[in-house]
Amino acid sequence: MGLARLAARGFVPDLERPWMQSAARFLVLFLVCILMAVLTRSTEYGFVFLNLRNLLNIVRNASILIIIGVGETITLTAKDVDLSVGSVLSLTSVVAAIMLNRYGIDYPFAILTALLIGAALGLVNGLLITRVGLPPFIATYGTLWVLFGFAYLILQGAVIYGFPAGFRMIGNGNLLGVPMPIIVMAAVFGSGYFVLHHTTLGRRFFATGANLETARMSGIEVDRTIVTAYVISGFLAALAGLVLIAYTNGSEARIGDSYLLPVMAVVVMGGTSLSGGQGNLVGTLAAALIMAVIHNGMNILAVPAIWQSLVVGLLIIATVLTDQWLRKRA
Amino acid sequence: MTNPKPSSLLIRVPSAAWVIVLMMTIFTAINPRYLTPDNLVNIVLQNAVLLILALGATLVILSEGIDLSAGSVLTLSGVTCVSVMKHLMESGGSNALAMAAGVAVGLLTGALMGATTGGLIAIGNMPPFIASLGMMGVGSALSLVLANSTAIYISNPLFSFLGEKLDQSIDLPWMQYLSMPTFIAIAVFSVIWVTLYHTPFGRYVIAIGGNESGARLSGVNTVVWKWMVYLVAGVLASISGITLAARLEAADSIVGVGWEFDAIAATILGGTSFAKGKGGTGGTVLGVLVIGVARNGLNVIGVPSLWQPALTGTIIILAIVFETVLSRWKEGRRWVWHD
Amino acid sequence: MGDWILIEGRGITKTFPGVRALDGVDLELRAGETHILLGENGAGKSTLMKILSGAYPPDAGEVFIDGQRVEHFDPRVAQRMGVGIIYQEFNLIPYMNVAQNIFLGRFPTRYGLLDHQKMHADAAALLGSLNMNVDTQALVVDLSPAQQQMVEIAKALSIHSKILIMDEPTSSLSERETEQLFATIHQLNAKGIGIIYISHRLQEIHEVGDRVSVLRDGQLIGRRAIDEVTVDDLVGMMVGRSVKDMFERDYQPRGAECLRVEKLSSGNRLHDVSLTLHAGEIVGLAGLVGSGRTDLARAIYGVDRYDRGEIYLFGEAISGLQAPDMVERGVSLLPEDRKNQGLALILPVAENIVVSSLDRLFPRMVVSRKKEQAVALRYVERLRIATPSTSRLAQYLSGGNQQKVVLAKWMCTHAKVFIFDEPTRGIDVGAKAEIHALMNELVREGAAVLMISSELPEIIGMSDRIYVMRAGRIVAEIPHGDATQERIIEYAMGADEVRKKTGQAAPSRSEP
Repeated sequence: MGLARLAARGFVPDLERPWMQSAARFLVLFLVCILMAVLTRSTEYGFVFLNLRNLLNIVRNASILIIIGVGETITLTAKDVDLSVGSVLSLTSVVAAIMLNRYGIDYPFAILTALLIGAALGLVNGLLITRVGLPPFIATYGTLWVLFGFAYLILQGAVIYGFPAGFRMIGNGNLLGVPMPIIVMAAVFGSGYFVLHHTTLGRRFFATGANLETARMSGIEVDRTIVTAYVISGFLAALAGLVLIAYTNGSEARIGDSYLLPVMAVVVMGGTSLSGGQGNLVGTLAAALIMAVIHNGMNILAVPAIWQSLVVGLLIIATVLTDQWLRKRA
Repeated sequence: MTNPKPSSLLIRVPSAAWVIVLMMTIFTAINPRYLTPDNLVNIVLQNAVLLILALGATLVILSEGIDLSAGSVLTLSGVTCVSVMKHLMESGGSNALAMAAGVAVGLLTGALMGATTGGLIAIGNMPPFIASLGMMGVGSALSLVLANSTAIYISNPLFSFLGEKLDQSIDLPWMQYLSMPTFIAIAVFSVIWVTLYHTPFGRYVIAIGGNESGARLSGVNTVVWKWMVYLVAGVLASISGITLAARLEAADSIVGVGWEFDAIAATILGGTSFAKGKGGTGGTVLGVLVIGVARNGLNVIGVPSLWQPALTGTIIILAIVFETVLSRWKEGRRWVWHD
Repeated sequence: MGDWILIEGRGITKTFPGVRALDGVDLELRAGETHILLGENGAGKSTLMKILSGAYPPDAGEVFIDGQRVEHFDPRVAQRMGVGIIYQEFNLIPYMNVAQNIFLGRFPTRYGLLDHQKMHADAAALLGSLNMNVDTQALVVDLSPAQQQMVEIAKALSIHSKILIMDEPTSSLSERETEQLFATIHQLNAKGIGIIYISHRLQEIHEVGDRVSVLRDGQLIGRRAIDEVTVDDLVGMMVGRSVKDMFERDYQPRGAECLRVEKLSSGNRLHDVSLTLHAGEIVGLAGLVGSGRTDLARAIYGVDRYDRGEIYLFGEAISGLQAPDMVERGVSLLPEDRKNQGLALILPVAENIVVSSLDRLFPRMVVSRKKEQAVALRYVERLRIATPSTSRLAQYLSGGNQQKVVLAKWMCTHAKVFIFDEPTRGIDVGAKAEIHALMNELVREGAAVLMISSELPEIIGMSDRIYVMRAGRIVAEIPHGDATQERIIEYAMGADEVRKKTGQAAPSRSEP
């Protein structure tokens, strides 16, 4: 990433079009893929990494993260972080799991309920931020813990296993040979991109995040805009949860916990600014794929899980540091 | 003319105090056993460790930063301390030597973690949020590795003394109301209080939180002092981790998870705000009490343990909302200089 | 007072990428004098000040302090040599008390702990010697801007400065507080302290300056003694044209009533304010800083709530309407703080321009970038906004062009009522004239303009009628034929205040 940015420095400084940053990140993705392909080459199996099924695996693994990441990118554009995504995922998927498994409710209804709960939780976050005036990371961090408490309350330590085939299609099915999670992810990314860059709502997100006071004085209903962003994030977290449990065919209270750190990492690595008004969806996508590639490569190389988190952690730190350094030089 | 001094009682009393009184009234009404000295002392004992952690959070937040890694530093310090101690005792070292070494290693762990976090933030200019979130991941990963995902038990009476009620060792009346963790907490509080209000470093913390560029232009070395805040917070987290391990006579990789939320919540409940360096350590004590009273109360009145995390979290959020709204109202009564 | 030269810059040149900020500038400051540094924005005052205080090194030229050439000049060295600088944005710590702020970074200690007693005693002594009445225990956040400024001055002096550089010190002070400041400056001069006073405000310099140096486009145009120069001379030096041809106005016949405010009151900031605004006219709102003009504008526009009163827009009673509704009905507000309230600096010019017209331009919620650019381009051309493209981020434009972007945003909404709050503050004369011409055009096309301004020549030159506010009330309505600077000031300050103008009262929060 550093290399690509240095090359871009020759350009006029105000051309901070997101596509240039994203292009840089895709370049890195390409390089990382090559690196992995080379590293994982084995004499018996040839280029293990470049196998189509493996590549599809990678994208499918990344798709959950990307779905959540779209929501997180949107809230960061409009305002600030949403730390509750992991817990929203947990709670909504636990509710859906119970409805499907213990009560045998039809899956469209279960899906709808989960999505509505996710949106409602996003609404709560939004209200805490706009009406009560809590700083977003306090509000969503608090929601995180409260929701975890409720997920734990509902399911305790149990694991629910086994969902009806109709529901599992979302996770296991294929459309024209492409796994469903990827389809969902593409649909979410596509609509997210469209909303953010080609609708008036998206322009409002940018305006509100760039400067709240100005947006208010310009006649934008900032509260409504911020709440909408958080509702979207909650909704997408719930959607991601549904795809996840459909794929794994099981759910437990802490299922969403392990997603917060990676989502934050991916969004930050993707170039979205933490101070608002500069969302970069394509960057998020690229970063998620980079992480998935690295995980996949390390799995193939049988690197223990602990080291994987360490590598990811170091990657985040390296990216942010480089960004800061380049920003100072520019 | 400066702003008039606050007049009404509602303004002068911190919001946390009201919340505590309200909760205690409700709990006592439901179960009169709540208000016994035994129980009240328990609250203090259970939360002494949290207070130490929260004081670190207060310093960090006063400097307009945030430290999400506090909980994992607590955990990691407990794990390193106990591991070293156990290793030394098993290879024939004396209890005293093992304890000294263990405590030293524990403190060093906190110092190193804090120094790294501080370095990323003060020197690397990373947003504190990301840096400490990353370090939280690193800390938990390390704890998992070192503790091998199980609990490490330790039986070192010298060490356990740090975590006990005094009636275990001293046979005098009233000793069941005093405990070492409480003393440690009081000692730490005193040191931090003096540091914050009576040393240059304390003033630098407020200055950095209040107007960092202004402080820099006044010749304050903001980079060094900012780094130092995180270092201190790391050491405080390790002190709490060690004390907790002493009380539990064990360390594992799960025990401190989520405590940074409590620490931050306690700080906010105590009136310390995220901008401008407003607030202080006294408020944090009240904040810790709010959390402690809530947890203990729910237990005493018989709320099923399944419900406790959810309800405690909800109470804390409501209390934070109350504090935020109240403090905004109080601010509104300040003269605002327009135009 | 004497001819001892405290600090001197010779042939100072400084170039930044693409622009020569300073070109061979000489400046000297004598002991006990207040030397005004005058110039338009972009003239180089800021850069020169930073070089003299050690913040930047010059590319060419030398700095002498007390006759000695200074090598390796940096802020800490500057401080040691007695140069103190007071920036426009205060550098105080809000939740620390006055004494601690004054001694920040140089706290007196005993055995490593703060010596509070000594700190407060020293601070009190310092403030006392300057006749400043500020409580050393008070938190800075509880002080008025004027008091904060006093603390800043005390702080600079506590570092034993004999040279003070003040950057636009009166920009957030009321008239009375400004008088206070001037008295303090005279006192400092009497003690031999030299002050470089950077300003934009022609009206102040006669009261406080001994000599004036005028910069334009990075060059020193002239240095004169204050009593040897007229306002016209100075403007001529700053700009190259004389005052006379700054304002041109064609007055229109008055059209229908657009806005009527009746007995608007809000807390203790606005009392029974009534005014009217018609299509085709520019109504000026004059008054001292603190008189409530911005409060009134914000109340009308719906950003602040008010307690009592009625507002009629195009004859229809409205109440409780907020900004989004007002925008829909064709009202606009160009705020005083254009960088933080008028623009989103990190967004491109095009997005800034269309942000208030989103629903009108894109009724089906879909935004076409082509249309966005085209619309923006139209306004960029019409208002002659200097920008290489509409994708340029707003933060890279100069002050005048930024204000034009804000204006473009509102013109894009087809607003019919424009409320300008200090429309040309901090803008160079060329852009100023362009904005005035635009305002002219707006009312010629039937809009109504309410203009808040603290520059009397501007208000007199541009307005059909002028309301004067004082302490939250409208105290006069003056048609443009009868308007003179003296008359406006008389009303703004209260006629009796003008006669009793001795100043030196203890700082008070109440408005004159």
